Amino acid sequence: MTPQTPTPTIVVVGHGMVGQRFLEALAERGVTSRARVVVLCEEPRPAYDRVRLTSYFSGATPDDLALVPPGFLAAHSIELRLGDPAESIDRAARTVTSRAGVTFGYDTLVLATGSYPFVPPVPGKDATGCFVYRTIEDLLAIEEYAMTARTGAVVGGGLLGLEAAGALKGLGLDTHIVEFAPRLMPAQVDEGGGAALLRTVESMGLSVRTGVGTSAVTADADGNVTGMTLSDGSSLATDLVVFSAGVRPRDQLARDAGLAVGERGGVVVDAWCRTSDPAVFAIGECALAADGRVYGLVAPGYEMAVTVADVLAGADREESGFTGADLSTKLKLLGVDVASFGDAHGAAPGSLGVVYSDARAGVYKKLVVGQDGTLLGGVLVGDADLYGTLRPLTGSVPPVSPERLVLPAGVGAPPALGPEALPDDAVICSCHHVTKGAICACSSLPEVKKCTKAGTGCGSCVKAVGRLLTAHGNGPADQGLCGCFPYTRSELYEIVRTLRVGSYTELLDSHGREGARGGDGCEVCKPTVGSIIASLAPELGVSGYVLDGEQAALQDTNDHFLANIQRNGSYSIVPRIPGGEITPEKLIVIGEVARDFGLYTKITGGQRIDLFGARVDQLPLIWARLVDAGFESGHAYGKSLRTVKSCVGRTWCRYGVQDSVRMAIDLELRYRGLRSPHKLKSAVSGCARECAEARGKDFGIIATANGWNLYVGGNGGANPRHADLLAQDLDDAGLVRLIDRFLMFYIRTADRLERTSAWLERIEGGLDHVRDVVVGDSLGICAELEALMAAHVAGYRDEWAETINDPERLRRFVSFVNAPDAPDPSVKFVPERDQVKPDLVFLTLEGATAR
Amino acid sequence: MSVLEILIGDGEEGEPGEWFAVCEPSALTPGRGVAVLLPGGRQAAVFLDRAGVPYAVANQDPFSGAYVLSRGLTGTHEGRFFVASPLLKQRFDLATGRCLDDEGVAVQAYRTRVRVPVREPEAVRERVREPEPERERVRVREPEPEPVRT
Repeated sequence: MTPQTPTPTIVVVGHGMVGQRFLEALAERGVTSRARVVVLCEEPRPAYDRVRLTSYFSGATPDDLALVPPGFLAAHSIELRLGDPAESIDRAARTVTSRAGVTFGYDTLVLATGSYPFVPPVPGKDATGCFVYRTIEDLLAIEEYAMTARTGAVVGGGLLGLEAAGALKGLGLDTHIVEFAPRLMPAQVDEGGGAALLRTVESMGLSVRTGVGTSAVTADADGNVTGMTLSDGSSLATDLVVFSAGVRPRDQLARDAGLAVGERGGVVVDAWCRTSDPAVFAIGECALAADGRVYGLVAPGYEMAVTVADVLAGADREESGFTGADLSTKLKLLGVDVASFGDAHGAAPGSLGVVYSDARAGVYKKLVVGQDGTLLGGVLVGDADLYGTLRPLTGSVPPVSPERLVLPAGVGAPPALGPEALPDDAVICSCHHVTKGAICACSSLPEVKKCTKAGTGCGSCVKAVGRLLTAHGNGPADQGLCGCFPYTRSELYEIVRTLRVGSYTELLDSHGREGARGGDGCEVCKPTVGSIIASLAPELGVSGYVLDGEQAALQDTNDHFLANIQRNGSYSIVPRIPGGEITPEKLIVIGEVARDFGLYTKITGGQRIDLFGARVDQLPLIWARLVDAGFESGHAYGKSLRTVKSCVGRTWCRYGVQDSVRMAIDLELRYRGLRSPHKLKSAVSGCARECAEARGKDFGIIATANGWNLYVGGNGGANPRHADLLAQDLDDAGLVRLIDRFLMFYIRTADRLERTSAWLERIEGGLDHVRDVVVGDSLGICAELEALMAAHVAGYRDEWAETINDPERLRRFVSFVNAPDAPDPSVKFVPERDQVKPDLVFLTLEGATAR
Repeated sequence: MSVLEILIGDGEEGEPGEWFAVCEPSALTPGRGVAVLLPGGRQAAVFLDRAGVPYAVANQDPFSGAYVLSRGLTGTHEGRFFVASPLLKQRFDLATGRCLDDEGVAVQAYRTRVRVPVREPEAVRERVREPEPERERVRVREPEPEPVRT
């Protein structure tokens, strides 16, 4: 490090999506370690995903939309000033003054102020009940006002207008859309597409007026919105109005500072996003790009952000900066897929349209083709599955005729257009502008994400990336678990099982990759192999206790301390409550323990109780109390069986047909402690009403009049999947036998961190194959699978009871090796809603240096 | 009795530094870390690699602020012994403190040594491991493979 070089200052005005991407690009290029970076942000919260704004109304919290990775700002010493926008720029002095009155000198100023919603200058536009649709704060205000409203109207039937209309509809309002143009989404789709869209939108109960403008908003004596007057003289009664009639670049700051702006707005920039002042850049929606356009999409904004970061990092940019971008979009609006790409309107001279339209299904597809068959662009409404294939083919002659491409599946031969059909320069991830060639240079999805960022934006290309990696690749793709082993998890399972390798280092040195042998392995394969050895422990004749000997160094901290680590370094505790059934006495013990140790308590989704905020040195003391009261480990920390949820069943419920609680308890006690490739969840419902939500579980059981139906491969979470029926009307013994086989077959053949749902979809033959193996015994391994499970059941011991009775094992439960009695002073709490929460302010980064 | 020590308090101000006794090396499991409370309330994370060589870095995870690096899993990446944060899994080179997943981030690395008693009671034999200086940001160009003869 060169001492005492004056540190340059970069001031960023605006912390939206593009501003954040710019900060990340600076950090990636190491610029944040050489320069002071100050960010002035008008909104009261850090950058969030504005593209997914509407998902707030379908349950996403503002936190879900957050774009700044935890610790990112601190790690790169970026100073973010929330709620303190830039008010003025003094270009001569090179300073920016914020609303709070603080003046910052800059060497480089980057404007990322975005845009503001355009509100037509109609009388009454400021009445109470008029809103715009741009920020989380706007949404919160709409949500609150909608509680007292019955009708809502959206001015503007474009992309954002439809999103806003969907939101109002979701809030329970009678919703109207008023669009000045003759069709919905006039900028993206043509007349036919607009008509298909209109039918679908109307069928959802929204009313749409096209071809009319808004003349005035009317209000009552208190100034509250009562309706709108339209340009054709008619009126529309409404309690709430959302203006969504387009956006305008926010360039006032730049205008005031004397920077050049375009006639219709936007800060004029060159191909490197430099404004008329070379020390000032503008990126994103506030910039008027070198091609004379203002881009209102996030992908071009990201490209501009990267361009400026490259300039500031002093990189030689072979390409000529940012000179324009593809305006292709694919969206799901009101549940309807809408996509447009390339020359969607057929503007090129001599272009021809190929159209498929199914008014009944609300599907409209149009491809624009040149005289020579070159695909120029297209519009897809109602079914946009082909977007990912078609957009990269734009500009080339597709290998299949356009007619075949727009026909629905099942009509004629399906187009054989896999990833192979795409040229190498086809853009797969449009958020980060990553080509097929760049993706094929990687060998795994994590590598793709890390090296190219593809799949880390909107995520819609992840499926295509996955297909490319398996279908294309350079030769056969490396399926190895990690940098240490060339084998998959299931291959390692077979190696461990057949060669009876009971030690990680032995396995690494005998079966690791050449360069990894003799080394220390890695954080990926250690827990994986640890889990395989634990699953096979009875068979291998090694200890199944996860804290013994070499096994100790293989486990994630959760398995190591038999508890779940939380963000401040404390742990949470989940005692097993089989089937969710608990006596009042045991409930009282949990309450007393939580009270005595000051733990935060919360009911889990799996019918258990989670106790948060324990220090490692408290864990044995807490468990001594719990074990004494008859509790045992709930394995919430392990890749193992979590819980078997149940409804109350026939015993109490007038609809129940079987005793679901007893079955849930039996199953939970049978499979407790079973180590597997990922966590396992289960549930038992006492009748077809399915109150236990069994079909959302890895193995779910639903009672029938004749016995039990077994469903497998269900999942909640980010990729919900209903479980598939494996077998029906089983008796108790038959059910247990089948689950034994199913679980052991999964453990044997699944990849690391592959839930049963993903495993079922991946393995060749899918559910039918699994049924052949575990029901029909097509591989002749069922006896073996059952024997493995029997050994597990016989060998089960409660890890916590064993731990608290063994002084040697208790030695690790100290905060400090050199001060076993000292509690960790960094684990601190503050009160919230009559309980505690981590004191994160306390965890400042004094010990670490962010260079 | 052998003692594992780490050098604290040296550095920019030109202080001589002070060897701080942590524990017996046998208190550590190879591949696993322990946390150490330093004078003044700071914390270090100490690890043994597979060969029993000690490493020490600051215990605070710069990405989360939590004092948890001692509880991460260790491994080898391109010959570098590292620990992966148990929270968000960023890896840190234990010899330099540098984050392997974000080159702008690093934690402090400490010098370590093991004092081994020999025959005479007072004399000690020392094995010192210096933290390595950060490697310069120079991209090494690998020699190209010989052209394939056809």
